[in-house]
Amino acid sequence: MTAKPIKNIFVQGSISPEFIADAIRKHAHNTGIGGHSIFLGQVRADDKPEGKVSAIDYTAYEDMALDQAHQIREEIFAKYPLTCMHIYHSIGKVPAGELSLFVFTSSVHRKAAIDACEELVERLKGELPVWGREIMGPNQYAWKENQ
Amino acid sequence: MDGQQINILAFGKVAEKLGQEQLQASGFDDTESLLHWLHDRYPALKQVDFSLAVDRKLVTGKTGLGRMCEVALLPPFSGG
Repeated sequence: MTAKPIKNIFVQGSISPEFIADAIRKHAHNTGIGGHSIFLGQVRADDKPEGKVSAIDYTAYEDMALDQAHQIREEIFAKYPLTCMHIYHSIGKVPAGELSLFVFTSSVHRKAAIDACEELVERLKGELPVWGREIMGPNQYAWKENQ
Repeated sequence: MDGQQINILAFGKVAEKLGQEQLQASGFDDTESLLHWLHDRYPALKQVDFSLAVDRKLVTGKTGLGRMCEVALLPPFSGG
């Protein structure tokens, strides 16, 4: 396997719909692609005992997270015939209703893109050292737990 | 052990319990003795569940520590 440079996956604050539109547009020149699969994680305004969640503040062990993301990327590329793969995760504060995770896979035929996207999301949520702190008010918060 | 430096990083709920995100230690040959010392010094650590990474790799069980290493205390991940 050729050594690829480690990509930064972190975006400060929320991931804008314009950023996602641009990412899609950039693939127009690649006419070998027949299907894209996209997962967007959105911050939910859950009702918690401490109050309603107004935002999630993400922190990460960035060096390790980038190593892990790199390894996951390589493994997913080895497993599925993908044309490309992009991963973006927020760091810092993301208000409820805005996007914090953007996973984008493309392939010649749809199945590889769909399956790879699903597996990527599961692995990223389970293996990246990232923590979300749900903010309910000025001094109210709770540490997010993944389902 | 002369010159040994362990850089300890804490994240999320663990950092909150420790009251800091980073601390230094020395004189520990493995994760078991380091954890023992941490629990003694920071009893609040017993209230949180966390795993360990040594030089950015998750480890389980007793793991040797080099002369210069980075040990991270990682609560359950909750990204996405």
